[in-house]
Amino acid sequence: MLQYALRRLLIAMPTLLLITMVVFAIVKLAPGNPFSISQASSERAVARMDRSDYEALLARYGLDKPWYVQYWRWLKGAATGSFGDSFSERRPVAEVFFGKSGAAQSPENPSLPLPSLLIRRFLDSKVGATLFLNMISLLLIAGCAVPLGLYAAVHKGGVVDKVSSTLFYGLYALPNFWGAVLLILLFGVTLKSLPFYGMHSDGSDSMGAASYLLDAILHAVLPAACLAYGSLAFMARFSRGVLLDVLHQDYIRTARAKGLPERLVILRHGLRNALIPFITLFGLLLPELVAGSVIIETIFAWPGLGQMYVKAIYTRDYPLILAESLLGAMLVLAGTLLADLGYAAADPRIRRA
Amino acid sequence: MTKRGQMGFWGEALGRFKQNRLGRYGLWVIAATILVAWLAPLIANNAPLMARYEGSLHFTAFRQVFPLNHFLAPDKITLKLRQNPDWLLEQKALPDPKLGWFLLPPVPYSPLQTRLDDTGSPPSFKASHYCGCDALGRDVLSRLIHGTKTSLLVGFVAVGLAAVIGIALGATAGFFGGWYDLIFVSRLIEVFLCFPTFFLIVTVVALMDPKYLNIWSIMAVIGLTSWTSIARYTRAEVMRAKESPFVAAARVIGANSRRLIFRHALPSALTPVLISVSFGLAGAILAEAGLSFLGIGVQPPEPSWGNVLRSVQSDWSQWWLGVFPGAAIFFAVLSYNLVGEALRDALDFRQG
Repeated sequence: MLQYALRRLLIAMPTLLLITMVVFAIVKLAPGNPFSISQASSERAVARMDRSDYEALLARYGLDKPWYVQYWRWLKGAATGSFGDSFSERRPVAEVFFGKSGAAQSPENPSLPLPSLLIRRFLDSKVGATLFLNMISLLLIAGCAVPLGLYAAVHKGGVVDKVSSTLFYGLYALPNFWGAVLLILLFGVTLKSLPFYGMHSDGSDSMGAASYLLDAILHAVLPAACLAYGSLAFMARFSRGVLLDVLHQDYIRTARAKGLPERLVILRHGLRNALIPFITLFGLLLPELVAGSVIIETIFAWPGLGQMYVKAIYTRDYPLILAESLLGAMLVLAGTLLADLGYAAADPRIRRA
Repeated sequence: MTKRGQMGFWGEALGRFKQNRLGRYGLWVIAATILVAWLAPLIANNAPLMARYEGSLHFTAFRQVFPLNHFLAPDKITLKLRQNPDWLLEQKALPDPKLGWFLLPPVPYSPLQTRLDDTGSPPSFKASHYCGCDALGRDVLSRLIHGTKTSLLVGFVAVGLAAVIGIALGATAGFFGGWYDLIFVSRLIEVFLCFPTFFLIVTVVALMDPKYLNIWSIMAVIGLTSWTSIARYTRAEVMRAKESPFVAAARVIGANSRRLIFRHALPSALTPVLISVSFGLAGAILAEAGLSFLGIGVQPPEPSWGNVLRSVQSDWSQWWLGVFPGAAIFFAVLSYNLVGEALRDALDFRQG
């Protein structure tokens, strides 16, 4: 098992390297540099600069070297963990990811109690915000898909099964940006029951730890629902299928013949065996969440990594773009790796392949 | 050669396809969207289908469907409408003596026609704004109808490009194998697989020079990023076909590689490619709508489903800007998915 895992990890390395090369190539092929794309005022300032000053500016950021030198420099830094400084925020990329959000400039109140401080630190960072959102949607998916799939499989052919089948198919086909728009129109505008912009309401600075967290959770409901509904529909249908397969096995028949109550048969014997493929598929959810985060965070103005990615692209912030693409690709690779490992753990035949 | 009574592989598959109800519905919707895209100037236009002006009969709207219309001299009604797009709509109030009777299309607005009186008005039957207007006073239904052409064009061209690249790379990799397959094609496919497709498309499009950003470059980008699944299927099928007896027989007769690939190996590999193309079309339309929604796709005033949907974000109270374009995208994508699944059920007899 360990051998298989190591082998898969080893194969993943050159792919990761290739990914960094592809992203670097795309980013470098793009016209413009951070100074030509910047805001109107500084654009005029750049236009008025002397040629020599402009070249000095480029040299300061290492943008005058040939592309392979730039790539090598970036690679060296990445291997040691330093991804350079973000051009638009002028601080190290790691700080942009994990440190306080640039917008949340209110100085940290040192008199806050520890739990409040920790929660605020976590949610203020971009990585924290995205993690928070994705965790909530993963919880939604895991919590809802299995019971729904279970119910549909046990009551196969019933009203619930037929209705939910069509409903899930429709949900799965619903484009996520339209789903977001519809949810906002329904819950945000018509019913006005849920907030749909940003992560905090006004006056959140003075809230205690619990209400701060609750406020963030409330803001996360709509975006997390949008992230989750597609995968939820898929997982519910998948778990229904898996459960149907499992329930036809011989050991289920034996359990029933033994005289076990139906509930125990389904929950203890059926569900447990169905969970293995289900968990492995969870690994494949990671790519969906990475891609979905970009659009959903932009629509809901959620201050996370996805929204930062879009901004970095517009401002040609190369270090940020590269670091974030690397992160995204790593997450996708991790997801497929986890799924593969899960299959190997469940099915010993795969390990010897 | 098939004997009478035996339909052959494709005949049987067609029969299975016909039985799939959802697939048939999907096919009807697709046919309807193609028809709407082609005949859009006859459905939503401020120019009349027929009109009697200064004694002679004009078929202005029909001229716009004609592909070479751009090179012909415009007719008098077109010139009048260029000066005043609301000319025909104002006829009740200010009748023009030179104009006789005229017949307007069902949706009497052009997608580019802004009417300052109507900005941000909700759907109303009386004013013939069946889906309302956007913030600039343009009729939403008209923009949706003309946007169908954009969406379908992007879908077909992008997938066509993806298919050409995918089949070329996949077939050659599967047939020749060796280091070309192992080091070049398979690694390339793996790298592209690691990026969620939309992520990659957004990155490339957003990084492009704005002066090159038009519908053709978007098609190229979508096509260049979605070829991987087609390539994978083609490669697998060609590898399988390579081992089959009929290819061996052709080789023994002395067919060269090119002939072997094109005439013998490829045709049997086309089955999964066809299914992949159908799903790819759905994906391409979705990608174009998503890009336009984010503002980096088709730019206004050019109509596209995505960019009409985008405008709901500036004023959430105008729900018609969010509901109708999204519904159009949803039903179009759903139909292509249904047809793809029906094709898969019909052609993939291995599923048993």
